[in-house]
Amino acid sequence: MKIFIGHLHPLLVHLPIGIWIIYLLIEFLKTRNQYKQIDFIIKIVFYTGAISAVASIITGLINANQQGYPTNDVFNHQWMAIGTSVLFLIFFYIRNHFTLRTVLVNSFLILLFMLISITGHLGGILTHGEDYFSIQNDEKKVIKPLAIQHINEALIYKDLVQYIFDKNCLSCHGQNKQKGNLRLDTYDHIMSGGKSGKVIQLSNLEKSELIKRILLDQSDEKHMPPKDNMQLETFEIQMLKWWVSNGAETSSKVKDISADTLMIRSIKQFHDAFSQINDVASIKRPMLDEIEANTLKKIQSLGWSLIPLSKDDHYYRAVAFNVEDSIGNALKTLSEISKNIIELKLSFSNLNDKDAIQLSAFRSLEKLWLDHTLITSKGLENLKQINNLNYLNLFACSINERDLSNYSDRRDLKLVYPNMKDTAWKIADTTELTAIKKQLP
Amino acid sequence: MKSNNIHQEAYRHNLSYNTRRHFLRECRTGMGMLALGSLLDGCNFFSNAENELLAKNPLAAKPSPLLGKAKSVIFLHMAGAPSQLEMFDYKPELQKMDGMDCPDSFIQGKKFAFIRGVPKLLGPQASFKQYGESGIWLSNHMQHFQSVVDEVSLLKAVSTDQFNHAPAQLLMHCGTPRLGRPSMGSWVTYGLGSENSNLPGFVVLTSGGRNPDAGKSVWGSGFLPSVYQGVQCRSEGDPVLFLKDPNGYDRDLRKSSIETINKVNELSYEEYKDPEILSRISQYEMAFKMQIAVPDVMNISDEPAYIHELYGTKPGKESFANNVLLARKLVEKGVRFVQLFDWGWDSHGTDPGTALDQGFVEKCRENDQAVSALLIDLKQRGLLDETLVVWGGEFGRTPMQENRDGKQNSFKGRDHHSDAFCMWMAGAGIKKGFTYGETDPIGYNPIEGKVTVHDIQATILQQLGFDHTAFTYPFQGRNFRLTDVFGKVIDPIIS
Repeated sequence: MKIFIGHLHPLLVHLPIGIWIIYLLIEFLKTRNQYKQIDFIIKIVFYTGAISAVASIITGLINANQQGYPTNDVFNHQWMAIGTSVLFLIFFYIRNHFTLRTVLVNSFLILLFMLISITGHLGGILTHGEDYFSIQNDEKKVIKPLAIQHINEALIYKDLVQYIFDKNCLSCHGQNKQKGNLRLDTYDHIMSGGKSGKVIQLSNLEKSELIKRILLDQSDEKHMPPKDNMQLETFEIQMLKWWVSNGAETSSKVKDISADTLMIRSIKQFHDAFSQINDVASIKRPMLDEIEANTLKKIQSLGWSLIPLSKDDHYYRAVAFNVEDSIGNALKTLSEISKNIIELKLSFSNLNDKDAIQLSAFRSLEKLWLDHTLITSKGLENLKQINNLNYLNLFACSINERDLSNYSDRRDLKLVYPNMKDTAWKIADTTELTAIKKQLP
Repeated sequence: MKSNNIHQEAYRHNLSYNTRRHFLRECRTGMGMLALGSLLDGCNFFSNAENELLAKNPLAAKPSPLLGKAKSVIFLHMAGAPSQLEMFDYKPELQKMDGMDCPDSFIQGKKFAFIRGVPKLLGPQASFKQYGESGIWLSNHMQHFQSVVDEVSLLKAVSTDQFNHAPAQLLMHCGTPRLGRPSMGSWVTYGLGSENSNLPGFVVLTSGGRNPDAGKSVWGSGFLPSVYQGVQCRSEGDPVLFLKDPNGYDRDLRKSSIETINKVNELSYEEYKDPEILSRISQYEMAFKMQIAVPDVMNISDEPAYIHELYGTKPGKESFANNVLLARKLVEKGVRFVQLFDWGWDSHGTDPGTALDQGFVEKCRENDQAVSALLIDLKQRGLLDETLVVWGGEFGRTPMQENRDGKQNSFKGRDHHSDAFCMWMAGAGIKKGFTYGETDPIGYNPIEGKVTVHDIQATILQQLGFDHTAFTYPFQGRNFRLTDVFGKVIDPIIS
């Protein structure tokens, strides 16, 4: 309720401005003798203006506490508004009780007109930003909504990271103002840092002042953005962290990031929040239609646990723990929606090489668990066509290194396999295991 | 009036009880109930949409609202509170002050469980060294942990506001020191369900010969439907009591009897719409499935010899190591939340078992091997990427030697300390080989990176894909959450 009342402020403020400007006009006309007859209307206009001014001030005070506006600007706007209103009242009182010379009245009218305009302008700065009402920066400075046609093609620094800086930081660290001698409006400026040196240390989050300041507690004096300003969203922080820890470089695109990272989810949320183009679902994966309820029911009745990966994009993780029928048949039924299956967990199922033929249908797979199954290298042949696969768990299967030579060029594929030696494949290495075993009593 | 037979007589007699008074009473309560019924319905008392969902399968796997790295959690709770000063928090200054009277400023206005008067400071009863690339300090009681220390994020300045076991344990698991709230595992299974309907989504294992002081409330479901409460399994004998069919009672007969009972229950659900009836139905179903699945998963004797050697397990005995191995087996089979309690860490120094240089060392040795093995084993199976492992007690221990009732205890021990203690987390997107937080030179107060119990809970929920401030359940007219009105995700330890 309070917030709602506060939000009436931007609407109400137009009334006292408009009405009192009319009042000033009438007062001006009154000083010319031929308009003397309008005297009767003058009080109605003034009082209407006064009431709306009071309403505006009250809603304004409520709004000031709710929103994260910069304190200084709010202070100026607030006291200008109250002061101007008081001056209007004083002027009205004097005008009704004393006779003044026309010149004096006119100069008062001009003064009041200027004051009310300035107050309005100060309010406008709060809602629209400092750059909104300036001629020189006509086009450049207005923050546009994110206008990326194809998110996959977007450049991480230029289209996303810089956008976050533009939106949140430039009012103090931009072309016009450089607090702490720091500018964040171009790549070179970001890299050269500010008063206290570099703000970004490539690939080192802990040493990057910019990230440190953002992560500090809000109550900390050094926290950025300052306490009373708009704060960064979690996903924006996540994106900045990713960018810095991956070398803060300028050439990589969204499509170069591996699909299953927090970064991709953050970009999705970011895109959701700021873009007007609705292609969120297409990030990394093509858009799919909803699966028919009957199909889903049929699959689930076999014991498949189907978990949507996110709310609306109809991609699923399928888990076979409760499949009672033979796993081959179950996979055959599941393959009706093979396009939708991104993660497939067949751990502990009695899947053999014959059942594995069904796997070739699941072209969209990104993660596959075949641990504790009966699959051998022959069954693995069926995975050749699955190009997006980036995780394959073969723990406790009778497969040896030679069987996996096909995958040696697939550096993006994380294999889990107890006997692997090639550490470039990021696997649990057995050397560690033997080291531990040696220490045991 | 003359009656023809005894039945008619009884009938008439019965009728005579239905007086005008009876009619009025029925009107009053009946109409009242009607009115109350609609009122309660208006307050969402019988939230039907929810019930419909429950009716299908209350433990069906659900997506997390945000992208979560963790699919499962293993929470290793050292009940009794292990001494951080003999394990992780190296304080050479404290060694120098060993035996000195505790400065007044530390005890003024403080409440302790047992310390009275002026206690003496007690130096670390262990030697410390730095290990791993991360250079984390570890005591000589943690010989195995050295090799996995680069997998964990160590929180060195955790603080709680409870200094007795039961309330502190409740705070750690239910977000409040008072009874009646759901435990973390219940919240998580309520939010995410389980990927394996043959096993409970939330399993509790205890060792050390005692349940935690806070009793079963630390795995209770509070106001959540009781289907989400933790299922306690025994690691010795039958894992779940009374699960076996009696002799001569075959599985088909069991099946048809459960089906019949559930049909009757469904009828009474139709009549009363009490969600607890649904819990009962699904529990019968689960018990039936568990008869096969549980003995299988709870049997560690099938594990290869190197695994037993790694963990230090001895099949057939109740031990912490066995429970740790079981935790891995359960998580591997899709169990969402495994909660381990290990009693015996309450090192007051009143007897050899609680002495820092005797019983405590034994506890550390047992714990160290099993826990290190768990991290290695999860890692080699690719499970550490999606399993969050949390280790800790309910509070810490004082830098002062306990002087129960003003007299020095006969063995070296420490009292309960709520202001600063150590916990660690590993796996599922938690930073590897990282230390967060610092305490003062004697380990009494946090000086940097202080985190609270609610922060830990917020972080666990975050890794599972929840915003802890948005994950709520309406009860008695307000939305409740695990972290109540507190908690902040510990961002620095998230990679």
